[in-house]
Amino acid sequence: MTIPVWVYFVIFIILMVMDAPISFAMLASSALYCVLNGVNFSMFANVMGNAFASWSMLAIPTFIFVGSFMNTLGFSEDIFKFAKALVGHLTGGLAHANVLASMIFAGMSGSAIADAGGLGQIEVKAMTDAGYDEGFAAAITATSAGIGPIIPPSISFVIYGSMASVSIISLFMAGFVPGVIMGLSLMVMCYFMVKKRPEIAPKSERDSGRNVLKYGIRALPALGAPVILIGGMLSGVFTSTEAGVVASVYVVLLSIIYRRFSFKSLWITLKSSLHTTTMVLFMMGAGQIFNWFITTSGLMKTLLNGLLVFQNRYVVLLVLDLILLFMGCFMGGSSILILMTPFLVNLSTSMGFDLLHLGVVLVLTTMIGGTTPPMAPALFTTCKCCDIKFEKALAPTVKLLIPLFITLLILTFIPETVTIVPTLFGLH
Amino acid sequence: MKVRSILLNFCKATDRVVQIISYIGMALQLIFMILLAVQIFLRYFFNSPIYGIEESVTAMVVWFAAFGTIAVTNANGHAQVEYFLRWFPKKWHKWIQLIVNVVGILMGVALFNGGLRQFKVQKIALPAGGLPFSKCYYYALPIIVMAALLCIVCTSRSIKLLAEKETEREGGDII
Repeated sequence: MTIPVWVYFVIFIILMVMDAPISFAMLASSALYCVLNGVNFSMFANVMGNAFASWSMLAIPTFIFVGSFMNTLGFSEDIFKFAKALVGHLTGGLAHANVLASMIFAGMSGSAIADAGGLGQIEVKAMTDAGYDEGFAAAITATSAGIGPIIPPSISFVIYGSMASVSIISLFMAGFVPGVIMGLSLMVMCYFMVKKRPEIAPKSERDSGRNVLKYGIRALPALGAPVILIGGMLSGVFTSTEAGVVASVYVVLLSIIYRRFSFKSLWITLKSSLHTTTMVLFMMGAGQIFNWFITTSGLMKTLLNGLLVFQNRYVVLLVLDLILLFMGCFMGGSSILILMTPFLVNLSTSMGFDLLHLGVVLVLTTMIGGTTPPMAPALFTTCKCCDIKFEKALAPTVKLLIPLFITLLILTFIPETVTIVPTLFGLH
Repeated sequence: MKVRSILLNFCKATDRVVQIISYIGMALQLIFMILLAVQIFLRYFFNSPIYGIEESVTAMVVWFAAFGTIAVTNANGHAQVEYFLRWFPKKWHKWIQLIVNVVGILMGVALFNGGLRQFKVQKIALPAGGLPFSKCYYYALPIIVMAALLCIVCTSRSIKLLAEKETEREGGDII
């Protein structure tokens, strides 16, 4: 029985709209194709098994472990206090501290949810206690959490690198400049927002040099984790998975030395790591089966041709940004990565795009999409974690999206901003 | 009434099995992380890694992923697009979720079928990577077990949906 290829795709979309797990929707449309075309399901098990056994994906539970353990043991609070002591006295000080702490935390967790759910709660509480507007606090926390998957290490880059066969270390290095631009542009926007409406952020006193030193020393052990992760990978001593394991051991040792270790914390961390990692691994398997289906059925070619009607590569990039942003408004970053990476690989072959550049743009766009209304899933999660009304955070979020959109355009149209660091280290 | 209590007991038993499975998954994660740490330590400090650890870790990760998938499915924690469901009338939600669970059962059947075929193929392969058994026990078998449990979990979720209140989303997609 022959069914037009687009019917399978429509089934996939219908299932997604019906709130079905995205992995189920991908598997269902692929399974239907197999049944109607006489392909046996042996491939399903084979691809799923290989996705589960992916060695590079092993980095994911270790990164989640480090971020989550740091949160559970209270090391994230030390980082925020240090950031507050450094920049808390500036106009909109705690908002700057929020961004700075997210940038530091990004160097050890690689996940936006670890930032928003753990460090984010500390940040929002500190800001609201200091008299900051609730909506503004939630908005800056959600938008700055998006830096997590950009500054290395990054779970999103691990997923993209594994799927697109791009060096994960190169991707990590490529995330440095975009992460810093993102953070700085958010700080500048916060400054102007507070200048215009001082009532949303009361002024704070400057911390004494002694205090800065005290908080710096207290945060020093926590800062060791990003040093191990980034330094280990950059120097070529460890692979990303090994660096994650070493950082996990470091965090556990740290918790024992500082007498913060508890089996309850370990339990919570392992549970959260199990859920997040396996959700991603199962979706990776389903995504690879779906990728096989769209390639074999010719759907990939049809979709590519649809985008290639725009002859100009800059227009293609802009359209791609818009599609990814739109998707980001409704779906989580990992789902988009798994769905779109095969498509981007084919697109780069057709148009001669750099896969490293495309990967960073893809991750950044999904992160921005996650805080873009109407849905803004990342903002929703932050508001839910911090018990703040979603509607209150919408207006400040829209303003904070302006610098992020500018960052995205810069990174999209000036690929050198992404490739400069890997090139300097001879990784590109 | 008796049928209802049997079905609810089936759901309770499923929850208990899933809970045990998540504990095993968490234990596996802890063990493979410790093994990896030991291997790194031995490699960098003594230049003598233990042969077979990599393959053992791979085997554990596949079982970890298979068990974790079941735990996530039972907790309704898979990545979903929740936005559009609000467009449907509220009284439809239950039935839509029921359809989704039926899709889950069908996917379980497809994976089970594929896993069995794969098991037969892998069974004749020689053990590799320092493990005393063939790949079928840590590639195809976890998929078969996962698929069977996926059917059971989705059935249990369907029963709960019909008999009790809807379960809350756990989330966890935004990484």
